[in-house]
Amino acid sequence: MSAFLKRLTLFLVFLTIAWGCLWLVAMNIPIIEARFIAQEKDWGHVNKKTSDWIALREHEKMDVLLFGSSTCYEGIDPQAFIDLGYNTFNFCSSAQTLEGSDLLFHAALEDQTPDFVILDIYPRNWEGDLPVEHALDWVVNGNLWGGHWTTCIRELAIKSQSVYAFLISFYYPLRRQFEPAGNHASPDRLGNYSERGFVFRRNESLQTIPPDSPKSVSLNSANYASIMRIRRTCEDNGIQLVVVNPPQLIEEEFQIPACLYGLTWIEGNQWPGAKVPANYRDDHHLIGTGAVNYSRWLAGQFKLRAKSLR
Amino acid sequence: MLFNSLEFLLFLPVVFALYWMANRWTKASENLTIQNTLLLLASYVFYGWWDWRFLSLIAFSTIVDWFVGLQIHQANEADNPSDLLHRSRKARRWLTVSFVVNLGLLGYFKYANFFIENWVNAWAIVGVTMHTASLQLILPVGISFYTFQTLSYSIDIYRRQLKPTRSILNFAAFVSFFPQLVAGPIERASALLPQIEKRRTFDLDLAVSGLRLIVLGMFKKVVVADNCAIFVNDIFNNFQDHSGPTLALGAICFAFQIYGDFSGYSDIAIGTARLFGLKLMTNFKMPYFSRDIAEFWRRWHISLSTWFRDYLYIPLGGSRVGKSVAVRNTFVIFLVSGFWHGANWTFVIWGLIHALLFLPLLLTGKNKKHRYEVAEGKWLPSTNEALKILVTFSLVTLAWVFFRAPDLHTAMSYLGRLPLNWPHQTQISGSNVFYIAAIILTEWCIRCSNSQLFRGIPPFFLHISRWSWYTLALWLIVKNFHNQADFIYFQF
Repeated sequence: MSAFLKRLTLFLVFLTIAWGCLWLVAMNIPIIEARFIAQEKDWGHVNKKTSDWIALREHEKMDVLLFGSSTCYEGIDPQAFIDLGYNTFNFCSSAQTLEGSDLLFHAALEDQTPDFVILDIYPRNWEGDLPVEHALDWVVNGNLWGGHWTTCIRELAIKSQSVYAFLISFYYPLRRQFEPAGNHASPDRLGNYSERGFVFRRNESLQTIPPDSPKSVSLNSANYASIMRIRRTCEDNGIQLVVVNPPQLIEEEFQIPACLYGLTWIEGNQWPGAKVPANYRDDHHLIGTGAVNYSRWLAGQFKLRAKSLR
Repeated sequence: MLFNSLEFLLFLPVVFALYWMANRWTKASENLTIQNTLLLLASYVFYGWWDWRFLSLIAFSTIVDWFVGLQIHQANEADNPSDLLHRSRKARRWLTVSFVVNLGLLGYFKYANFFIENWVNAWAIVGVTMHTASLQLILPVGISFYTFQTLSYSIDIYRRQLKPTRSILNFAAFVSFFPQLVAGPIERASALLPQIEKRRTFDLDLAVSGLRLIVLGMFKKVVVADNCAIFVNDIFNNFQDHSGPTLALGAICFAFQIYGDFSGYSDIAIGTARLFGLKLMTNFKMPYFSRDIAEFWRRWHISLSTWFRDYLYIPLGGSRVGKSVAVRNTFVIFLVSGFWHGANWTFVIWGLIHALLFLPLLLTGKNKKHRYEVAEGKWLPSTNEALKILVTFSLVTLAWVFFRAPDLHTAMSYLGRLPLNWPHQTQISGSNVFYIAAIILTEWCIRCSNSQLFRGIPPFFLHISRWSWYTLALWLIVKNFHNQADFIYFQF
């Protein structure tokens, strides 16, 4: 048995060295990186979003920070809020569950404290664990590394239960020392990044409501705990937490969980365009023009409910 | 519990450590009991992780066959202990009990709905409408595998080829042995039970070869099969939207998906068993390098093919009877094999196609022509051999369309569209091509290594090459691990 363990240890040493060599080669040869480490993508524009935040966080104080999934980064344009006097940044990203929002919110809070946090709580994300897709998006495509952001992104990787995401969360901080994310990204042909985290989708719009039936969903315990954490932090820091249920052609069925009681709630499905197929590319993702209209309506609703700025 | 899950990655080292620590820290006389108790517990935890309720089925099947085995042996011995060819009538009755219980369980859980639906459909043809609700049954994972394993135990005792075990612990550990419990290899009691009844000591070479097989199996499953699955699912789900060349690639990718999935599972199972000092039979021997269908079936899912050969084909008379009976037996064995895979006509047609492909070889007496490995002792096959391999692979791949399609109509439409729009651009990803090429090359290198073709190469170079392959394979496994797709053969 000792011979077996000795051999295994020797192999593990060899494995570590070999993987180190692979990383070195990958850092210098993009095609090796794309094949063996990961292919950068532009789809959620996390590369530009994170670069934007790095540039803005030092010079501008944000009044509103947005967290949520694709319904939010494709659906809520910060410009609509800026027009009403709220300096806003959108931290939403693909498949961002409430657990992911919780981690990103707490990391962003170390950069600066906003007056408002808007949480886009697309109900279909309530039941799942933190998806690998979300963790990988921030690890591979993000430019936010160093200090609390490294800890946050590594925690995203751990919560996604992906050994791979966790391992490459050690590769990318090194990699980003030499080159920012985005240079080798496969382009997003159907979306334009239009500052502060919003992506304007140019997909074809729907003609009719797709045949689908509403799904009954409930909030799982991990996401429940995340909301509670966000809520406590907001209360401790005097931040007003606003919850938005994004517009959907086919609305999910749910009971409002206790952790959301007493919070400011904006029902996106009350937006006049919420049931117009021409505003959507699928049953819950808005196209760019729909998103801009919805954002104006949402900003107006927000202003009605928002306490005054500090 | 899935082999390709984080739970298993934690479960395996814990069981491994406990198993060998117990061996070291207890008296030699107690070792076997402790080892088998640990194996049994680990197996029940492994299976119960999926659905603990179905542990009762395994326990029931175990108790029945253990008891029946003893009764068959007793009856045979009491009737005529010296005549090995004698089968007692009482023994036959007990064997029938084993058949009824095992095939009854299998039939109920796997085929009840199929028969109900077809019964209703048959009456509908003559205008009689029947309203029956389908039974809400969950197919217990691995039922087709462990029922066949326990059945072979009873048959072997009945045939006096095996003596029953008196220890229910040993027998339960044999039936539920977790590496091969849910998707094989379908191990014979005569091969595995004697190993379980003997105290195991740690064997370095066996353990190292086991780990290597686990990595190879994981590579086949996580890297090759799961990546091919993404492409295959897209093609088969929207086959109307694709051109002939893309459909052809979809079928080829499925051929590698199912091979990677199933042979990967077998490799992990065999490798895991080796870590515990137990040897399981080889289940795949490079089947896609077969030169005809008969050779393919000697290399594909060997534990099932030999099971059907020994317990169905030969009892029916095999091929040493008249041509017409041999033809009938061939159809029986392939149709049953197809039906074993699932309660769907697609599997039956898949079996029928293989029977039809096998038939010319049987009739011309060429079904045992290629008994030896292709290109034996050579680096590469000859042009003639390569052509035969290509033809066999193409035929097997076409038959896989029935295996993969959800129904006969889809399979026929898929095949009907295959000749359309050639040539046309296809959308296969570079990764899939790379992974498929990697597994073909790896298996060919293993073959060359086993055939001593690397004799002239310095051992240090071979050692480094092998370790480099494992490090790269492990990286790719880690990279693709989060897909965690089920094994296809879990549904059978």
